[in-house]
Amino acid sequence: MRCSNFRKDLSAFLDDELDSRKRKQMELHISECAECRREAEKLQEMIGIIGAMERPEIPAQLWEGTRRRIEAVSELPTAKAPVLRMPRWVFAPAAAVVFALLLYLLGGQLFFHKYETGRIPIAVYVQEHALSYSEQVLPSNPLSELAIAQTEPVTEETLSDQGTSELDVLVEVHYGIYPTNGS
Amino acid sequence: MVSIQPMVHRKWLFLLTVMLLLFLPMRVGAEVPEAEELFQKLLESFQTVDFEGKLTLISPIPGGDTMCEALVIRKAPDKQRIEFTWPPEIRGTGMALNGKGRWHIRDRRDRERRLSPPPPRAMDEFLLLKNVQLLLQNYDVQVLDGGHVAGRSTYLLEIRPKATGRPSRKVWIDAEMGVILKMEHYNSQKRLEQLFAYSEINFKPEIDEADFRSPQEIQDRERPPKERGREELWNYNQGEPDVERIRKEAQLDIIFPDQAPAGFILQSIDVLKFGKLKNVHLKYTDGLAVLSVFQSSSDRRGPGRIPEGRPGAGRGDKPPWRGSSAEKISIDGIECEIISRGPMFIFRWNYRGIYFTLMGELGREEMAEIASSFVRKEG
Repeated sequence: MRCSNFRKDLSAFLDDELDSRKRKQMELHISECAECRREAEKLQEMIGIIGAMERPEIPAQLWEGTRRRIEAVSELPTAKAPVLRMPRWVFAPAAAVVFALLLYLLGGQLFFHKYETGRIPIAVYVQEHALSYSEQVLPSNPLSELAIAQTEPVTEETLSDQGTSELDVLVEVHYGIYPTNGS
Repeated sequence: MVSIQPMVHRKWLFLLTVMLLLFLPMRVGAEVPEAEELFQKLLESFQTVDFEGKLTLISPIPGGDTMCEALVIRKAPDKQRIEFTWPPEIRGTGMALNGKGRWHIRDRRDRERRLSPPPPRAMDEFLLLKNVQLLLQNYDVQVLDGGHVAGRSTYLLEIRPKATGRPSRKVWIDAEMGVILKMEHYNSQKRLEQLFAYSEINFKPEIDEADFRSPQEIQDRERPPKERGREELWNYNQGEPDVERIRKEAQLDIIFPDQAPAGFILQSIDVLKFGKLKNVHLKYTDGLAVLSVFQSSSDRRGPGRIPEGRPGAGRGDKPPWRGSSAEKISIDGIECEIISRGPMFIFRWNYRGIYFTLMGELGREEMAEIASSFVRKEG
């Protein structure tokens, strides 16, 4: 199994969603590849952190109070019940706003400050070092360097691995990082 | 009845507004330097200014922002260390360099490892100045009062391309020291791609030389750095390139376009030999954006095969990165593959026994036009 395939299925593997054949392949790979093992451990750790996040306790009296208010409203004569009259078109945008707010509140902490280990260093490295050591006046675009940083800088050792392509090498060269002997 | 008092107030207010409008731009204009002067100060700061600062880097990406923080220590003219302080997963890792080499402080396998050495300084300075001229030719550069960054007064350099489909920048430069304190990078579609800023900076740091001592130096102080696989055939300092000599030395019938892409100059020609790979690298710049054209013999890949893939056995045909997309188009009758990744376009095609890889951050149409210039030349 290739590392790229392993990482594609890693999340499903950790969630125990793979069939037994696939699972065995993954287990075999994880036992052989230290890099992927570490990746799996990190993801597992992150899942653990998210799972262990405290959920607020809902006070028992909250529901009790809400129930009483619902009952009080339902006991009012229908004709006299206050009716909120709004045009129908208001409901869809209002629902969208509420949904977006919920998404922000629930998902924000997961999506914001997202990072991937191993991707950032080269970005800042090129960013900063290019200032004094590149032929350019200003640093080149670091977002692309985030892409090249998905793999480690190319060495003869990593080039022989399956994960590094010729194009990876050329992109690094484009940004001023040349292959070394990795000494 | 109209009161007289408010009318007097309005008159004074009107006069005050007119005076402000007249004199404020003059005052600001008198204080900010010319763009050339500011670039000069920036280049001088590389040579002379030491500092220690906390850097924050944010890259807006689909689904969230990528963010990290680092401690940066620079000792002019050639020593620098970047050590990450956040997020925790990469804390303690980083990069460092001195006049002899550059290396990972601790990489993903928890080891320190040498990276390729920086290019020679003399060539840098010449080309940097040349690139400032180019940048000023190809971009509208405006200097404004940049307010305060990390508690320091700054000038704001706004760099906008004269041609469409090129990147732009906003750069905040320390008014006194000339160091870049903040930068926003916009891609060719004017979308913010990245932002970095110092939140704290100290220009009188107590620097420990041990921070810049490479692992190799510890083992063998006199051992020269090795750079493998790169051989320079020509650079801009050497005047007009001798095309025949370069072809002979590269052992490849390199194709040059009639003219460099509009606004660009050919900066260098290298041969890259690494393992089984051999490519000739033509590097162009317009002072800000960089274009790379790689050419290699397509023989080793076999006729009719899609050449992209891993070296050696098992060449693949899919884009190499997550989030990449690939499509095939025809350029002047030649089938060409385009890979798009963030702001970067990569064009790859086979032509007359040469395999081309063109990459840069220009707009797609301009990139296609450049690709075409390498096909038409010999067509």
